[in-house]
Amino acid sequence: MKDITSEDIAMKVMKSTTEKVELSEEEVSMLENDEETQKSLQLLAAAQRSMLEATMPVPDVNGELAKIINEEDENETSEHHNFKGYIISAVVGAAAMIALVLGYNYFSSIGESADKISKVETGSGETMTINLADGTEIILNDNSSIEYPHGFTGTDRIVKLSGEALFKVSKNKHHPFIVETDQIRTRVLGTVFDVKAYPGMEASVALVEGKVEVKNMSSGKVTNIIPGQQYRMNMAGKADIKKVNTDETTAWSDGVFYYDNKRLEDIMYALGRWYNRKVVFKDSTLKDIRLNFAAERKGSIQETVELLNSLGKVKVTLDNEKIVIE
Amino acid sequence: MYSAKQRDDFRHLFTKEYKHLYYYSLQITRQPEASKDIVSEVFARVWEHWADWQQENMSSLLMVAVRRKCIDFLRSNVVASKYAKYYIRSVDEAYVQDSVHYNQQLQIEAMMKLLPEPTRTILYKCYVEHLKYDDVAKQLGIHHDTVKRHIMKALKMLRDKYAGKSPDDIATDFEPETY
Repeated sequence: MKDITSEDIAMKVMKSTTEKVELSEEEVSMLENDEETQKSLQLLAAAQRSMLEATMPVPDVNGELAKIINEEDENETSEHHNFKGYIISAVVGAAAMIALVLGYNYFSSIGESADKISKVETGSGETMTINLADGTEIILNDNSSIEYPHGFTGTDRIVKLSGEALFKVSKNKHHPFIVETDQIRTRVLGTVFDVKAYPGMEASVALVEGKVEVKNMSSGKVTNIIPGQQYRMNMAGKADIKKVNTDETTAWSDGVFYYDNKRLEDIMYALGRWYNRKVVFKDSTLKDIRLNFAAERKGSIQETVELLNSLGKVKVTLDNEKIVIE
Repeated sequence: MYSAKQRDDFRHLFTKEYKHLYYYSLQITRQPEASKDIVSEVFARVWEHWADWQQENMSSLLMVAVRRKCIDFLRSNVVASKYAKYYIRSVDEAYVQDSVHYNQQLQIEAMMKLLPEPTRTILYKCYVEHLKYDDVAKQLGIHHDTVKRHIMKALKMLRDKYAGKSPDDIATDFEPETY
């Protein structure tokens, strides 16, 4: 008798909804019990999913939605739509990362799902969009990590962040949403805001809309900020509030580097993080030069450096591991 | 009949979940029109009862409802197969929405782009155009077993990437380098 391979069985089952397929008892038992057979089938299904998504168009989502809610005037909530457009383009900007992560495991049945904590991390050159079980959307910037429960239980919705993320928190006044970092703790009821807390750097929270409360973890002091304001805390734990252009603060989530009259050191720090290169200033006074700079994050490091050089303010060169500014 | 906020919440849920559910349904039913109907029917039902629905865990409720409709569709439209459950179970696995599966799906997407020809075309014809393995062989003028060999090769590539990899290993693929 021919050997039964896990691949053969997987291939048969893949066709089982369109072709008449017969499996032997032994094959069925492998489907039930043999991990390798199950894995083969899962991989083929996953490959099928990715091919479907790459080649079959998705129907007009807004059209389908309008049919259900009988809405003639989609423009009535233009502000809301603008925001959505913004978020969607941010997702597209994150290249292949269209598939969404939800903060729970729908497949696991009993008990373990809600309390389970997931940790998602990004490296250089990556952003990631995460959708939590409560409808909250998080866009994680590069070199960042976030921990969140698969389902929220209890009063507070708590996530832990290191690095930078943009939060669009689903409103729920009974369940405050809390973003914890080592330096600061941000508490909200439903809003859009950007938290930046990379290790060893100034930490900040910028508010796009809504209302948030920021707690300084070293002094314990609590501060409220309003839209257009940024709360900043330096390494010594000293905090201040300044006005910011939130379009600039959140531009990264749209897939662009965008800096308006910003210190070169801050710009280069972000570029170095994104492209995973060390940044070397030949002359430290260069750090304080201010620049206006915009570039696509998906552009190569060479293209971005070329753009920087074209400004004529600094000379930037690349070697294998470093970005050198002189 | 609903408040602006309720409408907004529904709109948000719809835009967030639609695509995922549509492809899930499409993968099981293989029919774009039927999938559109299935997903819309489920959302329409949710909309009818929107005021009473709990918002938490809506995503899993939607998934379960779509799944049930897909299975009904299979029963009424296709030669019922006693093995379809194994297929659906595996498709389910591809749509589990947690970070491990998400990362895996991303890697698979990337790997699929790297598949050499004609392996890629063969997979496409078998699993997107849903041609029988024999018909794909005929179309491409190759032997039945060659079709199989190409699929096995693709599987091997995908599996090598994951064999023995725990979720932690996959997570380290995403480990940030220090600045």
